[in-house]
This record gives sequence, structure tokens and C-alpha cells, in this order.
Amino acid sequence: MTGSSGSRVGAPSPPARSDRAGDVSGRSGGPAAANCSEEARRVKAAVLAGQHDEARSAFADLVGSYQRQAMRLALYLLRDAAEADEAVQDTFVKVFTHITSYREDLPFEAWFTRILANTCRDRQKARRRRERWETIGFERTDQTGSAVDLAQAPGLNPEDELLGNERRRYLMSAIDTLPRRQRDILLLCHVEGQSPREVGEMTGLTESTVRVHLFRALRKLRTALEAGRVSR
Amino acid sequence: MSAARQHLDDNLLIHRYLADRGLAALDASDEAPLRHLAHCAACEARYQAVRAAFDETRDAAVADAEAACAVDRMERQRERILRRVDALQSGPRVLPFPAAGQNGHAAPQPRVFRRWVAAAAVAGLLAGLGAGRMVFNGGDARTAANARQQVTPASAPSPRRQTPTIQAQHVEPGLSDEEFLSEIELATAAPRTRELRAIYAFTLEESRDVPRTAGKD
Repeated sequence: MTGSSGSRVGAPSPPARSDRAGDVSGRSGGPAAANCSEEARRVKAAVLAGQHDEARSAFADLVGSYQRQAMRLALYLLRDAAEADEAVQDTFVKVFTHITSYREDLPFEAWFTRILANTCRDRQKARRRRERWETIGFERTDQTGSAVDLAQAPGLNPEDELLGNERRRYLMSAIDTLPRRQRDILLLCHVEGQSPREVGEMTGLTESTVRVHLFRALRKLRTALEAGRVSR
Repeated sequence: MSAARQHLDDNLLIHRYLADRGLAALDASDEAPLRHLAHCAACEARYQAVRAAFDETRDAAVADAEAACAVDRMERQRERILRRVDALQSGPRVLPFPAAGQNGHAAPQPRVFRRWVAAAAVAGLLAGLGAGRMVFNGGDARTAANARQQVTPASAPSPRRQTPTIQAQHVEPGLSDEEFLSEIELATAAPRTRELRAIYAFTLEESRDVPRTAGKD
């Protein structure tokens, strides 16, 4: 069963990052979103019919279609690859458990993103609670500005790769200087390409509040980058 | 200087950038700044710098996130999700105890065997204790009876501390106290015990007839 769906994940459709980030309008109603909603309907129908194998197969397809985007969203919210990994797993398991309460007239993406955001928020709370009890000498590994180990970019010579990684760390550290809410909104809107309305639904804020936070985040980011440029 | 000729500040440039990205809406009050931007090369250059900086930051964040979404990592994540979903379907799983899990069918045999060994050891211990008690109690009773017959009460404070066979060689049954003390003096004055006198003088009280005492005087 796993083997049949494994090929699907082995060659995942690459997310059109540049298109996605730049084209916000076509995001929610795109073919990928419609595909996810269709797969979610299949899972729900199979679960309601008591067809376990069919439900599992459809759910495997759904995970393969949406896990990459889910991982990016979780990473933006948690800024830690391991935590994001676990949050995505928890979210998918919750989705399967509560698939019968999924409303088919609404896009699956919005429902899933809401669950994911709540899961990430719970994890953030737990992490803050944990960090309060941590010893002073213990330092988290993700405080260098990058959430993950920097991947080796193919086709670059070592010097370019080193400079590129250094620049990336610098930019990510500039983002990390923002207040948490502004940073989350910046990453979701500016980087991931979610609309202010979607981010508002995800975070529980109004659309206008999201816009204000986004504007302030960019202004602070501009100031931080300018200050870094001068100090360098 | 008219408003149209003033250069735009960063807030307006950011607002323009957000509008270009579809993340903010321009209204009528933004008409004049946009006209200025179209005709002012300096402001246009600043806007392009702002745009490039924000785009570069976005690309960095995207690359950072994509690095976490490696194919093998996604594969492992997907397998774990499906395994957890399967676990939901199959209900709780009983984990085997680690020691028994390695050789599950052989586990009951050693347990029975160990019980038999333990029972045999306890039985052997009890039998040994009983036999030992019988043997040593009989021996003690006979030894005490012999000692009572051979040793006088004054010379033997307790039967256990005396060796009846040795006492029988040196002590006559009918000796008085005076004779017994004389015997002790003779024994200590014997040539074999002379070497012990120095130790005696050093450790206990000094005797008058010890030569060392005479030397002191």
C-alpha cells in the first residue's frame, strides 16, 4: 500500500515558489487547492462508508499533495524544522481523525491551515513554557537565524555557496529580529503568499490588522537591513 | 517647493511595494506620490532598491524553508503520518516486555526451572541446619560433662574457655589454692618463659624480681 503511493512522494510536484509568492490572486482557487479538496472529499466518503483501505489510500494522496506546503507554513510559524515536522504530523493525524466534520463546501486548504495554525500555536506555548524551565547555559540550535541546516546548492562553487549561505543567514536573522506576530504575518503574507484575509482567518486577527502588521513588519525589516548595510 | 516635487519617504515606497504585490490597496490619496515616482529618477531608484531588498529577503526565507523540505524528509514524514493513522485504526498496541520479547516462547521454561531450584535450595538449607544443630548440641553436652568432672570450679571460670585435656596433664585434682599459685610461679620462672618477662614488665606491672627494675635502683 505504501509502495504504490511512495512513487508519488518520491517525485513530488515541485511547488512553484516564485509564482506562488508573487501571484497571490490565483492562490486559493488554483488547481492544487481544488485537488486537495477533491482528495479530502474522497477520504471523507471512504471513512463514512467504512472502507478503510480506500480511505487510507486517498489520505496518502492527500498527504503527498499538501505536506510540503504544510511543512513550509509550520516552519514559518515555528522557526524550527523538527518542531515543524512534528506539528505537520499531528495536524494530518487530526485531519484524518476529524475528516467527517470537514465541510465539503469550503476549501480544504482553509480548514487544514486553521488546524495547522492551532497546532503550531499550541507548540509555541509549550515551547515557551519549556524554555522558561531550561537552564541558562542551554542554547537552542535555531537561534542562528536559519531554521534548518543550510542545504548545499548544486552548481555553485564553494566560495559562492559560502557567501550565499552567509547572506541567507543574515537576512533570516533580520527577519528574526521582528516581533513574533509581525514576523509570522510577514512570512505568511510576504513569503508564503497568503492573502491578508487568509492569514486573518488563520491567526484570528482581522484583515485590516493583518495589513497593519504587515506594513510595520516591512518597515522594521527595511530599517534593520539598512542598519546592517551601514554597519557592514 | 510643491508637494509633487518632494521625494517620497520609505513608508510610501513600502506601501507601493505592497500594492504591487497585491497585499495592499491604493486609494485616491496615493495618486500624487505615484505620479512623482514615475517622473523622479531618484525615487524610482530608491523604490527599486527597496523592492530588491524585500525580494531578496523573501527568496532567502523561501530557500530556508525549502531546505527543510528535502525529499527524503518528506518521505519519512509521510510514512510516520500513515503509520500513526494505521495505529488509530488498529487500536492500542501492547508492547512486549524487552527481556521476554527476544525469546518469547522460551520464557516460561526458565521460570519453572528457577522455582524448582529455589525450592531445592531452601529444603537443603533447612536440612543442613537441622542436622548441624543435632550434631553440635550433642557434642557440647558431652564436653561440658567431662570438664565438670575434671576441673575445679575455681580454676575454670567457664567450661568453654578451658581445654580439658591440657588441664588434666598439669593440675592435680586435689590441689589447694596456695599450691595452685605456687605452680603458676614455677611455670613463669621456667627457662622457656624467661624471654617473656621483658614483655610482661613493659605491658603490665613491674615485678620486683625483674633484673631491669634492679638496674634502675
